[in-house]
Amino acid sequence: MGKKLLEVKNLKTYFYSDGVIIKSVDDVSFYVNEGETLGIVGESGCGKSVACMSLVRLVETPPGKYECGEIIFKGEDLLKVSDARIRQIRGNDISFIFQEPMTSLNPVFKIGRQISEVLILHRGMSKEEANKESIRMLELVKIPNPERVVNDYPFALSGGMRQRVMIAMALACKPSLLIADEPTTNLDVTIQAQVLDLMNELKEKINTSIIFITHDLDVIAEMSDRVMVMYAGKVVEEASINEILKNPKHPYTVGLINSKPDMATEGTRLNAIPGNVPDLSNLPPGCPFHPRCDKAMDICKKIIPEEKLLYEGRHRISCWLYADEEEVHE
Amino acid sequence: MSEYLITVNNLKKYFPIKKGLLNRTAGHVKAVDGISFNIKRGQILGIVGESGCGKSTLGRTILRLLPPTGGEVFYEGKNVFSMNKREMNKMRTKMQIIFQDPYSSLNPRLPVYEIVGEAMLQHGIVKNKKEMKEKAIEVIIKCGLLPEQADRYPHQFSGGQRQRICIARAIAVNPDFIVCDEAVSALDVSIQSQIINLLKDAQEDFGLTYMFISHDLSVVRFISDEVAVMYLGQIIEKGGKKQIFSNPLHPYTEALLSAVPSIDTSLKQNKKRIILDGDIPSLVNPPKGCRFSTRCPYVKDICREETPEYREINTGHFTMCHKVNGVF
Repeated sequence: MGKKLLEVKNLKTYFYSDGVIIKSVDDVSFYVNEGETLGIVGESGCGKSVACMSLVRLVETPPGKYECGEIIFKGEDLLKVSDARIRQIRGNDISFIFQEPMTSLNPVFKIGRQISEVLILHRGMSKEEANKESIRMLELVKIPNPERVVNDYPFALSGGMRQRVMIAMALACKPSLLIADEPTTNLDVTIQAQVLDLMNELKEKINTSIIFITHDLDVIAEMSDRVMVMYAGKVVEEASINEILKNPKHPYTVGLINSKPDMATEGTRLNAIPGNVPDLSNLPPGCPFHPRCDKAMDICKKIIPEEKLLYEGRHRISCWLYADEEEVHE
Repeated sequence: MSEYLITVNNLKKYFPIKKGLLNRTAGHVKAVDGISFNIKRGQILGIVGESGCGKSTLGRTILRLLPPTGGEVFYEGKNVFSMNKREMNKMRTKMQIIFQDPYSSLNPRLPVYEIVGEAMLQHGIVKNKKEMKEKAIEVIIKCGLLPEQADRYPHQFSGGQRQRICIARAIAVNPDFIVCDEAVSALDVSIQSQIINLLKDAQEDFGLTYMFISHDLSVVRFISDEVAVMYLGQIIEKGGKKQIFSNPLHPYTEALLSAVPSIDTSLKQNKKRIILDGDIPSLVNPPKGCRFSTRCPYVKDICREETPEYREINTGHFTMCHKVNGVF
């Protein structure tokens, strides 16, 4: 580990609709090291998916617009490269697994053809080679009878199997970065356990970095090395997984951890975070979390807190509570 | 008055599969296949299981929202399935349901006070529209919404607020029994905990009995007094919360619990995850013998041949497994 594979600096992705500006991703910076799994947690509408779609310019423009920022991947700024180049990178160097395996597979093409397409396009294989490789990929993701499954249509497969096909497709070109957007959210727990297990195993085998997006802290805890918590388009906290779980700093992270019942929760009431998930087109001034925060001070209602690095740069936080703590730059 | 509010006796619900020009019945989806249990008054029974195991069908059949194929359901000793239309109509105020999706389960054309109050007027709990609105506002306030929100329409609310409206609608008619069918599954984590607290408060304030259906084991563990685990249309294990979560007997329950991801790293270290092979078999043609035999890590020949007996192993702790029954 150690070498940065991807670095995102001050990314802003806004949407313009009906005269309203929706700041889905607002000044977000992060990096992913080689061979590392970065988890991004947040509730619906916090911008976690848009941030990752922006990485390979998958956000539709208009209504979306990349306001500013840099996305440095292997020395190239992905926001500046040509459309042809970004198409080369998509699926080849950076690939995606989406939440809904039914809608992200084409229902009218056989599984084999859908995997082959990637191989023919990016790795220049012939049809026969691609078909053989597809079978090998399906074997890799532990699909029983891969020779038969290549000739099946997506509807013939269960949710877990479809997600395996998606993983096979995403890994077909041995990408250096895999972005998994809620890959197990629609799956049952026993199937989720199978898929998570498989992803961890393949990560070792192919030596891919993963960005794992989810709303489920428990899944993040099982999968990630480092976690970034997002709220209303901003990064509120980032640290290693152990640090976040043992020593959460931001009141939102603390609330998230405390409000979720886990297999050890006792008592009769949960510590819920009050209020609702904010509307991105109508954010309060100051820190977007202040209306729901039990530690809110006057300054929180007026000025957006700046990001700070604490503990020799191991913990990034954006909250006024820690304004006086000493900042340490890397 | 018996100790049990709800008694379910060998309940069955089959859905026919129609095929061909003549619409002949080609087979059945056995969504609920011979289920029996009781729920004590004032208790919360959690029902867990993976998708397609029949847990929602079970909830709906108990409420007679779906016509049963066989079996009986007793509410305070009265057979729900043998009631005529008038008796059933009265019974509806006693038994309510909260659905998973707060977006599709509210009428978009009605203001909130009418959604909440409609049933009160229908069942004669209030006499006129004016009284209905007053009562509806009372219930809305209890569910954590503001009185001025009563005139708004569902689209003006967020998911969590809509689920509050659904809960208000359910408790407005003073029920005793509520089926919560994945009532918190569609909500964000921070909102989920608010709604769980609201459901708990309502239960205490009104002395309600819940059947809490969910695929989320952590939530079920938190809210329930008793838990039943379903697999392919059958309850394969049932017991007190502690019995199920600390001492699971059935291999499926064991695997299900081990599959739950956890943020507690201390738990993670001494936990060995059991990864089950394969998918859930189809309800059309469930495996012969024990239904879990196709995925069970301990499977023996007898499991594929004979259906295990549903037995009480410890007081109040039932399971259905040859291994636990000591057959091998």
